[in-house]
Amino acid sequence: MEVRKMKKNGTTGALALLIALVLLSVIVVPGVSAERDSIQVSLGTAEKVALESTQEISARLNEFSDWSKASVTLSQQCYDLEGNLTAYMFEVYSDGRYSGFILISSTTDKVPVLEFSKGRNPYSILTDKTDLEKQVQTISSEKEFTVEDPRNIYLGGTFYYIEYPMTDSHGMKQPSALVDIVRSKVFPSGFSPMEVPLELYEQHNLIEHEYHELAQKEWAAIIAGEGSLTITDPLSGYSGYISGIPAYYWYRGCSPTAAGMVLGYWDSHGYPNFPVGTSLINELANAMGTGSTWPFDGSTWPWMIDDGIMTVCQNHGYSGFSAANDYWMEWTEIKNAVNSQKPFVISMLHGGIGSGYSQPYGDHSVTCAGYSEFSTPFVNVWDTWDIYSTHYIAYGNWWGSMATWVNP
Amino acid sequence: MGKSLLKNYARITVLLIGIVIVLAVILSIFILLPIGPGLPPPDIREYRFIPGSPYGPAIHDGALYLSHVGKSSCLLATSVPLGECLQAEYGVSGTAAKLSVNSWYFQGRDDLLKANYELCNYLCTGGSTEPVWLQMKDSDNNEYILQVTRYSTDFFQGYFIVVEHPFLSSSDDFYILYYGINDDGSNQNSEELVQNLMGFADLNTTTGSLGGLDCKPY
Repeated sequence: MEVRKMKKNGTTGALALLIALVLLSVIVVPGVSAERDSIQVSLGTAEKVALESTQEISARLNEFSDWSKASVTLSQQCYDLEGNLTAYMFEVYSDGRYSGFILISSTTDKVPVLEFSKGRNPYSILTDKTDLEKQVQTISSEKEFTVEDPRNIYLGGTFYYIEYPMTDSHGMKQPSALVDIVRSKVFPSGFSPMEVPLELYEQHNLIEHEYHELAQKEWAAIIAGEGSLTITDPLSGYSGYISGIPAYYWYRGCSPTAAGMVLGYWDSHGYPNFPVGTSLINELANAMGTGSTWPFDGSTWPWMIDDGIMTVCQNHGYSGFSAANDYWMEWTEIKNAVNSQKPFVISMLHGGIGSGYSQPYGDHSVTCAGYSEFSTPFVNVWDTWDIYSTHYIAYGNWWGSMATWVNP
Repeated sequence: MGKSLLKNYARITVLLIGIVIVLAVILSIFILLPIGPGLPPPDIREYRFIPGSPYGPAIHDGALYLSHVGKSSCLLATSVPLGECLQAEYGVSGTAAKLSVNSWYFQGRDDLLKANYELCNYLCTGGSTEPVWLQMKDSDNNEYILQVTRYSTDFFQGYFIVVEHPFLSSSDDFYILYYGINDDGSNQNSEELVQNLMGFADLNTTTGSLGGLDCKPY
């Protein structure tokens, strides 16, 4: 019944679309832009799509409601490694304030909206990473090359790069240096970043045909003036999301913070006796025995996480709550919990890199808010690092993981 | 027949032992290794006290808005010899008020002390400083007292705060924060606006020390 309700829910549908777009965009290899009935999309059309999409998104997703009266401004044009235009990056402004970005495909063989977020425009992140630019300068100095004007590269998914073309002392073109913005890496001249995501692309080959058809269909509707986005929601059965989880910033330790978000959710869903915010996290940290001195400063023993949650529940008169650690977290269990709208804690050992980050999670607890199951399974988490957006991490992208299920 | 049965038993036994070992390893990993602390990376931590910034606390005020945040040389008036910092600018709807936050983030105490010294030297030539105690409210309306350094010139005024070890005692994170307003005399409630902005920084949720600049003569 709950699953059925979710499917009817527009938010879920749009979220599924978002997930689908992001995941599908991963499969878009550079060579695609010039293949298969592809038509170049003009800047004017892309801007129109971007603007109309912000309206569509704001109507579908509560957290994007401020995009209803948003304006868009072209921020960057993005290219592939052959110099073909791949996408237009628009920054979204709401009431004159920066409110996120939306990436629109520049060719009709990709779905119109490649990515959107309330986070930072990935290309602006580089301004904070001056060390990467210095590395490029070092590379060019060593080879006595001259660095030409940089170019924004977008290869799908989270593969955002800046290309620094180089010329030698005779003015001859040399292989470019590439800066991987998301992963904070500099690839020296001649390296092809295609080596990195190839495995991912292969995983998605099977769905490429369906993806291409969907893209063509959506663009055809736009060009015919029949609408902007055809939100067909073909993937609603493959994703789930729990709305209403309060996002807490890291405090005292990741485990009590993540558990705090779970109990904070229940506080606003029928169990209002819990404290909120740092008061709740403090209580959980004390109950879990989260360390406050070196070498366990901020760390929590895994077996104490469920006990701590139970203690706090009992402290506030909720003896009916159950919290249980599960050292063998299965994908179907994650889906069931999310579909039942029951957030839980995932504690990972040596966790990998979450979407939008350049550093891995390591030994970290997060609050699971959703999943997507489109070829590669992903969990969608509030990670205590970012209180504005959830982040994705591929299921299994860790050495070990433990779920702490919480049931009222 | 008997040999075949024995072989099968042996295989099953080996398989079972293997499964038990794998399970034991998985369980022991979670018994032997604590989870956390899971601190955000430094490039996220440096936004911690800038309200409304990508990784900063949220602003719960419909009128106050962040208009820009980014790395800057952080010029206060003419120059400040502290190197790069994160600078954020804010507006208040319906007013001409322009507020700003400068956040210098250090991962070494020596760097903090050096910056504190240089900043004190600069401030005493360009304006007046004094230690003050503010009655603050955080975003959850919790009240707390905050000792800061008030700085004022003819054109702007604000508060300097030094934060040490805000996350963990074992994590070397140090900040010099400036919350201020460009004061052209048109704002009657400048201090109120600045303190309102500071309230959203949730300074009281830090676990380390908070205070003003140490501008004693060296």
